[in-house]
Amino acid sequence: MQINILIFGQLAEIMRSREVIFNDINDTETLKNVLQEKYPGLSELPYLIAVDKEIVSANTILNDKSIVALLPPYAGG
Amino acid sequence: MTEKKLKNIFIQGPIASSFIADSIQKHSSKTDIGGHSIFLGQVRADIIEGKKVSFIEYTSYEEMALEKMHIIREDVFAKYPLTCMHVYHSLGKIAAGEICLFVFTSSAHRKAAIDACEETVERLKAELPIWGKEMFEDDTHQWKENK
Repeated sequence: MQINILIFGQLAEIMRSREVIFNDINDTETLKNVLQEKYPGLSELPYLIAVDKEIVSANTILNDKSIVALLPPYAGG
Repeated sequence: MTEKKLKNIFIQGPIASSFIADSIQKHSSKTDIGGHSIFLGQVRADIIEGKKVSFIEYTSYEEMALEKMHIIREDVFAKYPLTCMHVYHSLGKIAAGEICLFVFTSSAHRKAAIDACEETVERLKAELPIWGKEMFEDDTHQWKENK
């Protein structure tokens, strides 16, 4: 299963991309672990995960239609 | 989420004072309004470690921001007797001294307009996925974070 992940703000800078595609990620906990492994720089920055435009805190199952986004701290206004 | 028409709040570039003036003018036909409250956010030329911010570059996860703004709008309308509410936020490069946020609430009496305006500003700063890259005069940058 392929999951497309949208990346914003400072995270896009750290990960050097606005979108990444991962295979075989079934839930958000796995995603976090994979991200941590691939991008050690992420430990410097707190971020939230949104699935289908809703922030998730508990582990959330993903499917191939899930819209996943990584959101660094907000700075609007 | 069910399909609905979400109001766009985003403006590319700074919010012109003429746009704000026109927006005020448009309300003269709504004679049940007795008070307006307006909040304007302006880009500040902060000095950080001796370097001065020359502009902020705003980006957003727009689809999510518009859904969240829709919820804030519904909540605020449910809580206060408002006649109307308008919210605009800039995207792109906004120079120090330019306006990047315009929140405009109106009601029959002042209290509802003032309280609703404040609550809307506080909530949108906390809840909308918007990011600001503070660019310094020497082309370096740092990422803004709401306190």
